[in-house]
Amino acid sequence: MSEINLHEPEVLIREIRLGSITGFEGTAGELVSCAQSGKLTESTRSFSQCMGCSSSNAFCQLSMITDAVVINHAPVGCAGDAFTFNFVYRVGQMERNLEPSIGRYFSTNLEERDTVFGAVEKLAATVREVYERLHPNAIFITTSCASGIIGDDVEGTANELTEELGIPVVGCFCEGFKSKMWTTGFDSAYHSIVRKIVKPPVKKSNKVNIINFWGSHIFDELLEPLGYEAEYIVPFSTIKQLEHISEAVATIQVCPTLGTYIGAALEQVYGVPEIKSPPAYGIAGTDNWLREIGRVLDRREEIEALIIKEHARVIPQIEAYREKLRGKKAYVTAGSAHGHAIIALLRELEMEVQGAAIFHHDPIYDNSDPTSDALAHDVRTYGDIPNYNVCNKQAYELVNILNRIKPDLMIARHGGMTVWGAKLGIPSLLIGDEQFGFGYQGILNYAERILETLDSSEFVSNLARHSSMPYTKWWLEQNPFSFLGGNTHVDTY
Amino acid sequence: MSTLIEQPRYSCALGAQQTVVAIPRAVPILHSGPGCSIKISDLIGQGEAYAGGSTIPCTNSGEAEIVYGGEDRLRSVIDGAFQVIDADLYVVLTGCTSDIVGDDIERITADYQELGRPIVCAETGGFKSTNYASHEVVVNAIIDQYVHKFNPGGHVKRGLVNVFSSVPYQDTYWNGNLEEIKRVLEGLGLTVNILFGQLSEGVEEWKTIPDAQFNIVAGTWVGLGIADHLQEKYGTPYTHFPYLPIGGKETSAFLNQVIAFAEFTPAEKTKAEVFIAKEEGRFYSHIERTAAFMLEFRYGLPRRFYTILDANYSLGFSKFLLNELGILPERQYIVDNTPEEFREGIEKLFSEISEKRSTKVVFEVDGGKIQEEIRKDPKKNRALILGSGWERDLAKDIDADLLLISVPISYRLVLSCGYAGYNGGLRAIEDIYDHVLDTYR
Amino acid sequence: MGKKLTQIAIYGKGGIGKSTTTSNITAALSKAGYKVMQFGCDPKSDSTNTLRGGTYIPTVLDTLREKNVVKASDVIFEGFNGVYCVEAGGPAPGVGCAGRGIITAVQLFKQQKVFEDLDLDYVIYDVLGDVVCGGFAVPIREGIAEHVFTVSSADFMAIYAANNLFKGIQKYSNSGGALLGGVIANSINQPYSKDIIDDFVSQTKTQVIEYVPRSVTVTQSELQGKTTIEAFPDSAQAQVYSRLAEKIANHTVSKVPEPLDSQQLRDWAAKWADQLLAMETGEIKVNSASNL
Repeated sequence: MSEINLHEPEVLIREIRLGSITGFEGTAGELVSCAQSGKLTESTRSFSQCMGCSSSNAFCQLSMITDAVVINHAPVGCAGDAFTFNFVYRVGQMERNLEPSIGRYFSTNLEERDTVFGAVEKLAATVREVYERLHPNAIFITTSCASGIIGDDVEGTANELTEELGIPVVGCFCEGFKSKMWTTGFDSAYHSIVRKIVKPPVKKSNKVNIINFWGSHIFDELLEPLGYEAEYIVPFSTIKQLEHISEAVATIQVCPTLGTYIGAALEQVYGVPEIKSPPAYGIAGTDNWLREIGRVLDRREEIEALIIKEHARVIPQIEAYREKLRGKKAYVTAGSAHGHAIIALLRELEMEVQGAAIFHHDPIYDNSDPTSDALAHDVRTYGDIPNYNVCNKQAYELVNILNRIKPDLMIARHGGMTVWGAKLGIPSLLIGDEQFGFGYQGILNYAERILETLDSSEFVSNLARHSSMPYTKWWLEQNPFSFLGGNTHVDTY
Repeated sequence: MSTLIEQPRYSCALGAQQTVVAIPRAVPILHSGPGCSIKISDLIGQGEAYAGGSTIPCTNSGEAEIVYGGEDRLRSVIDGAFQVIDADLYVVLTGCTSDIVGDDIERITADYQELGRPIVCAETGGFKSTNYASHEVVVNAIIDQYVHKFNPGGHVKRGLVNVFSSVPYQDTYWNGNLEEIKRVLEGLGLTVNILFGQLSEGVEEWKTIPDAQFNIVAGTWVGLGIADHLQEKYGTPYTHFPYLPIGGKETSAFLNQVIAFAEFTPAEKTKAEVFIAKEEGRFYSHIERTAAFMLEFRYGLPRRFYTILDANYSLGFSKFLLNELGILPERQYIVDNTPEEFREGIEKLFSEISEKRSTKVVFEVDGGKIQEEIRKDPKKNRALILGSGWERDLAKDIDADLLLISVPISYRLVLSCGYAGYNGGLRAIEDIYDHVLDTYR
Repeated sequence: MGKKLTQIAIYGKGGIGKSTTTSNITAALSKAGYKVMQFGCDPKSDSTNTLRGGTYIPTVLDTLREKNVVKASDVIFEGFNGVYCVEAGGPAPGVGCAGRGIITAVQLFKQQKVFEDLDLDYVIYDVLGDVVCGGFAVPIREGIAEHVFTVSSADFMAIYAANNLFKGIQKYSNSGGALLGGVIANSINQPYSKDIIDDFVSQTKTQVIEYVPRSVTVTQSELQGKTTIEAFPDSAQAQVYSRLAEKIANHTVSKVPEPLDSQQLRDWAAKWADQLLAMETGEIKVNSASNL
């Protein structure tokens, strides 16, 4: 389905490449069957609230390559997220016992005259200045709405400077207006890495690429006994490490929403097999995933032994949690793959998932393999999920839904949304670490946190008594999807 | 040729979305790309407030709106906002996308204004300016397009003042600062329109702006554009105190300046002066109690300071640290991209920082460059840095104490803490020496 | 004070003769005793050349780029007979965004209240007719020009361009912006040219304000760096421009334009193509045209 093309500077946006959407209401089963029969169409909202854009997602991956620098070719406001990611970077340094350092992020600071006269010279001057100051091993240039609309030739400038300075100077095209899905930003960042940094393999290593955010290193204890080494990318890697990821023996996705592009690229271009099972959430999910690892890494026996051992350890504990959690109602809001993951976990614990508001849906990933469809896996394994809403945040829909459903628990896996549960007095949980729910242990981790959250309701019930509600009474009485509908207005296209 | 910025400490023109968020029950409507709002909130959005954060309506302009224009989309989002969000004032703000392709938002907003809807607009495409400058643009737009409709002026209310001081959210301590400024001005007997924050009455208060007897600008340059505009439009005179007053000496100077301008009766004047005397008395009794510590603590206390702040805070804190705590000024970096026309005045103020001293001031927006310079200074004695979260490593490297004043301030949770006024001065002393003492095992 | 300022915009496809026409109108109005400012909105920045002896003036945008802050008085230059000349300026070909440039330049003047201070009777915006983005339509927005005129010849491509322009103008006319005063028909030498353009304006419910023939006098003037009004004030061509200026000065009623849709335009053009063919083959007699 998706041909990786490393000659184009810009990666195709997800809407086109994968057919992804941001608007749907129905059940998860309906969504899956639409997606698999090629009948998925986008819906837009005539009223919307702010979201997030590709440039932040691209930046989050590029900003923690320890010996590279990022230049944002934009007005200074677009670098508003720089410190947020710097904070994450430094905490990650603490966790990995690295020396503290600040991320080196620069803005070309586009002003009015630059939008009129163009700003490639300013960009080039900035790149040279940055190189003089820091001598990094690579420089990434991220683009912005402003630089994109005026049409600055960033690729041409980057290529010239690569030759002049002798280090990769790479354009990452992630203008906010380009895609309706901010996750296209991940693809942009990975595309710039694969096309300009990764080198053809020289020899096979014993490394397994782990495409993740900046979560804990849970794969070491799995892979080391099997004779392999986990290579966590892209945050906290160096340019040199990235040059060699083509030599790995396999690629693991912690979150296919994140890594779909790079996993497929490494396989299509350099033959590094990608583990295509949905990530290991829930017992069945973990079993399947482990078995594929066993197959790809040629360690079938060891894996079977591990499965048996872990089942014996974990299943009785899960049973104990099920006793306490059975029938409790939960509502989920999260990004795509994580949303599917959390649904699996909740159903594994025999909780009732009353509905979900999931940010965007990819009907297929870049590896074109239908087995990677985690939502389909969830529906097959645990049954259909009603009230499955695909959205792009849109707090107004969420508040309306929560107000109607009043679940026992709200779980989120993306910032900005839990406050709405809390304001309505609903215990709300957001787990930051993406690896927290992975594998058999992950089920136990989540179960414990869920119990805690359900128990500690004092904060939210007190808050609910005193909180303000910026939504009109009228709105709270409407169908939450009143503004969702139809395809984009014909006049607009 | 490049004017690059490393370590941003302010936002773009669209950052004035936070100015609107700070007005009780007002909501901004963004006609911009999808990521602008959250990036702004990331840097200058601590404390989400009524309709801020994820609640902010936005057209999320995409390829279609760029190529074909975004006016229809804006109309659709405005219509939805009126139905879904319960607010008293809706402010349409534009981002880069709308301003470069030339969407006619004035026309669109006028259509709604003609129907009597409480909506105004301002062009705040990111590339146009910093949010310091656009704060004035947005306030003036609300005055011209909304306040003026309800109150064309002409009836001055004695003792009523409008205050223009901290830029909400850009100054993380804005709530505490505005609370204290309101408190001390009320202590003089004035009725204060503080305009932003929990102590403001929202749009009802804004409607009384034209009635002020006079306006007060307590800040270096942001706010002058508003005061000038109000003077032109309603004839309201104003008094300008050129920085944030911090601590006993400066707050009293500020209040005395206001008294002189206020045309009080002798009785009112006496009452006001009694208030000042009482506040000063309380303030200095605390200083007195702490003097022994300051002079006798055997281990190191900071003896020189750097500021990496906007003009308001830089001047305000420099005066305070030198005159009230005796810490000597090293070098001051002003990072708010101060417009040319104000720089000379600021340099002059720094050249008279105390009766016997002047200090060097540098206008610079590149944080990396500032830090490099400071690192090169010889390390003579313990230093204090007033800066932002970007300064953590710098402070550690030169063994300096760091007080977080400027954004990004991710290492502090700020609720009502403020550094303005008498209470702010005391708080500043506590916070500085908290840090210092905490470095000892 | 108390004088009423009239703002006019003149649009025309590149190369159609709009700057020539506009500069002559400006010069003629000035000779007639009015205080006029000509505001060039073409990134080539050559609108006011012939009012200034063939020289280019520093543009608003270039000045902004150098100095950060621009006072309007820095970028207003006096030309022939005391007319005021301003050039918005813009980026070099292939970079930046000219539309944004126009927005910036026009807004600057609007904010600084320049026109009242100079006690002007007329401000004439000379604007690139390829209105390819919002910025180029700024001069016809509400609060700026009241009347807009388009310059067109009788060539079909020019008419297509004028029709397209009407669509852009219509959008703004419908919401408080400038209304269409009419067409200035340029290079009208053949009798059939007049017929074509007359028919077009009748179809689109507007009018021709004046017919301006092609003339070597104009070429001679421009080579001297002057308008025809300045170089050859007594010539017949100068009379045409003076007449045109007078009509514009007395013009009051403008309308919302009614452009033809694609099918109508194709049909109209096809009809004229048949007619011209018939003329050529002698089916219809044609009086020979007289050049000036």
